[in-house]
Amino acid sequence: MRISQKVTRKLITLALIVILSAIFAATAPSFLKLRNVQEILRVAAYTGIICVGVSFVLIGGGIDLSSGGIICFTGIIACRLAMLGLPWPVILLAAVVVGAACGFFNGWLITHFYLNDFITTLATGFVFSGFGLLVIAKEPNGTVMSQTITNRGFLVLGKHVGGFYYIVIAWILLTLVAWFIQTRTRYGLHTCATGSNSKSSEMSGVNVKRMKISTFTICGACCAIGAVFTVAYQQTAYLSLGSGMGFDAVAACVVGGVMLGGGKGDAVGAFLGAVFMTLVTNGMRKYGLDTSWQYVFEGAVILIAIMSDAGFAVISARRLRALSEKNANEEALLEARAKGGSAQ
Amino acid sequence: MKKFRKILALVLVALLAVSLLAGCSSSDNSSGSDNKTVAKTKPVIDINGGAACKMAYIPMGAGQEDFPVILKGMQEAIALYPNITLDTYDPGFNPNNQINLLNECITQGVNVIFINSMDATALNSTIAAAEEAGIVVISINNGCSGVHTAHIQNTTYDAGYEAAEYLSTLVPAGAKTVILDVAAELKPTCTMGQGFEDYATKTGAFEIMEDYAQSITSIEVGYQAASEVLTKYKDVQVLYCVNDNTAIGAAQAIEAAGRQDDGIIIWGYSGTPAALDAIAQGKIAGTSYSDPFYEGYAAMVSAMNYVQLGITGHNLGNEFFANVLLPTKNVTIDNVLETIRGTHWDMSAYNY
Repeated sequence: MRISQKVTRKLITLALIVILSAIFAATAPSFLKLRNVQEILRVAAYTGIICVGVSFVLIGGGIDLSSGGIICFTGIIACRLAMLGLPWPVILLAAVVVGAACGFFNGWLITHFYLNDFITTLATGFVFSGFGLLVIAKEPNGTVMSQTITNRGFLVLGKHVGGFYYIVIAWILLTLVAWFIQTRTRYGLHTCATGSNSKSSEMSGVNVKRMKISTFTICGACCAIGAVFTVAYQQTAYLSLGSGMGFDAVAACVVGGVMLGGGKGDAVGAFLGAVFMTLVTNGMRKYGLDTSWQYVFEGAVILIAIMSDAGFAVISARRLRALSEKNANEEALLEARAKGGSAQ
Repeated sequence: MKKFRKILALVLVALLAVSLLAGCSSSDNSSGSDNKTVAKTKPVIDINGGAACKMAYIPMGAGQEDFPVILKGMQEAIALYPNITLDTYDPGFNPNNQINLLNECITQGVNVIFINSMDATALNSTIAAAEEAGIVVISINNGCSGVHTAHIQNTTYDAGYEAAEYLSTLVPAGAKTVILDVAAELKPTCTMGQGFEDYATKTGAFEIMEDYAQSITSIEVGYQAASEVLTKYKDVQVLYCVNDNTAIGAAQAIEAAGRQDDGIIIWGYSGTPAALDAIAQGKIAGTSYSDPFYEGYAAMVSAMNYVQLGITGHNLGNEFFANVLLPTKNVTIDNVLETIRGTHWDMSAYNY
């Protein structure tokens, strides 16, 4: 029985999570406190929900760095709507629609003008943050106003039930749905195919442009969901909301085995990646290490993840080469036998 | 088989989470009830008797200009108390990171949290949770609108008002002025711009053309903001900056635009060595000198008192928090040399 590379990658991340948890639990007394576990899951859920969306884009062969901008824009919209006293389903729906529209815009720009994903989404991230500044509440003299949300119907999204924050429950549900779509549906297969080789996919009848736009749209919607839950927890929205989240989400996905080049990975891997990254940050703080060492360690973890991906790619290529060589040898042998037989 | 392995991986993660939650719930419940008792019975930690006390300082970011000086003030105040530990964290100028770090401090069960808040409202619920857990929360400079134990700050409103009062003697009435202000999130507690504006409204000494909100206050951002303002308002006469880095950036922007001879007056806030040098060289008209060393010192002494008395904003009934304002002084070309000699901002002076 041979374990596939995809599963091995996840099992490694999972094993690392378990090992790190055990080390932190044994050495840092506050690690196993209920509050700390809740906090790890809450923080991981915020990154994780964004990761669900980003995983679609990465698997489809793209990259989305505008997540931070979309979070800022949709978070501020959610805050404004909450201040109007609207119920949370309306606010969530409105934010998701706006987030999906932002994602659609990204996808449309990239596919219709043949732009580079990296630079395009970096630029649109600024555009969306700018939209956030446009819609944020302002004083009569035009300066930005700081608001505290008091809408209890909305703030419930930032609370927890049975020890689990609602954002964590939403994260788990979203991950399961995304995993199902990515691995059990034709849409998931087409996304994977687009990421692996877009030209071949197009020739096979996959509408690559539509696939790409849809992945960015899903990503935008996920950013909006993450933003709404975070705004409900923090009871306000501000202009730096979501800053750095674009890179964090991509990093977590890569650590979870979603390949940067596209075609490999799924939402479960992204889930594990988000847990792992949060665990590392949380655990490092317990030792009172200088922040610079935390950055070094986090960077090193991402580097190791990328290197292990590269290692897996080399192993796969070797296996493939060995298999094709074996097949070629067998064919040559059969051919020689056939020739020998006909000569006799 | 492949499906099974994935489900297994998911189940393992779920098990890990649930076991962590379940396995530690009993111990945590007890600590939770302890915390409640702590809050109710107002614990007294006998610091003078050598009791251990754990404190944490969360600045806006390690790059915050007054962070090392504030920290030095705190360290000086606890130099004779070996059982007091003070940890510092770097949230990297991100309110979300500050929230995560506050939660981390609550989990670690620290006794005191000092914080330079990045947002006057975003941290309120987490600070409330810390206070509920019996932790003394003291905000420094950039405060929070929610109730916490104390807020310590060099005066900002008065500093802005006094700076305007001084500058009104240098420029004709109705001088065209732009305020390079802090971000909106910080305005409730960083009110130097408001002080300046109020003086202008009251006396008509200045015509405020714009109150420019900067995302962060740094030399680079100050340079960009001032460059923009210089292009937008050709006849601007005064640039009132909310801190010295902004003022230095503004001075650089004026030089880059070749407008040194236009007589544009710049005023800062803080009194950093670089700003004092700039005042001596005539690049900046002056600054409102504040002393972060004393802020740190005062914050720490207050914290030790609160901890010993068992006082938090929460157990005072969430109706009151102490607001301690330390004075600032105008530093201009007339008194800059004496200020340079006695400044606490010069970190090399602490090498003893």
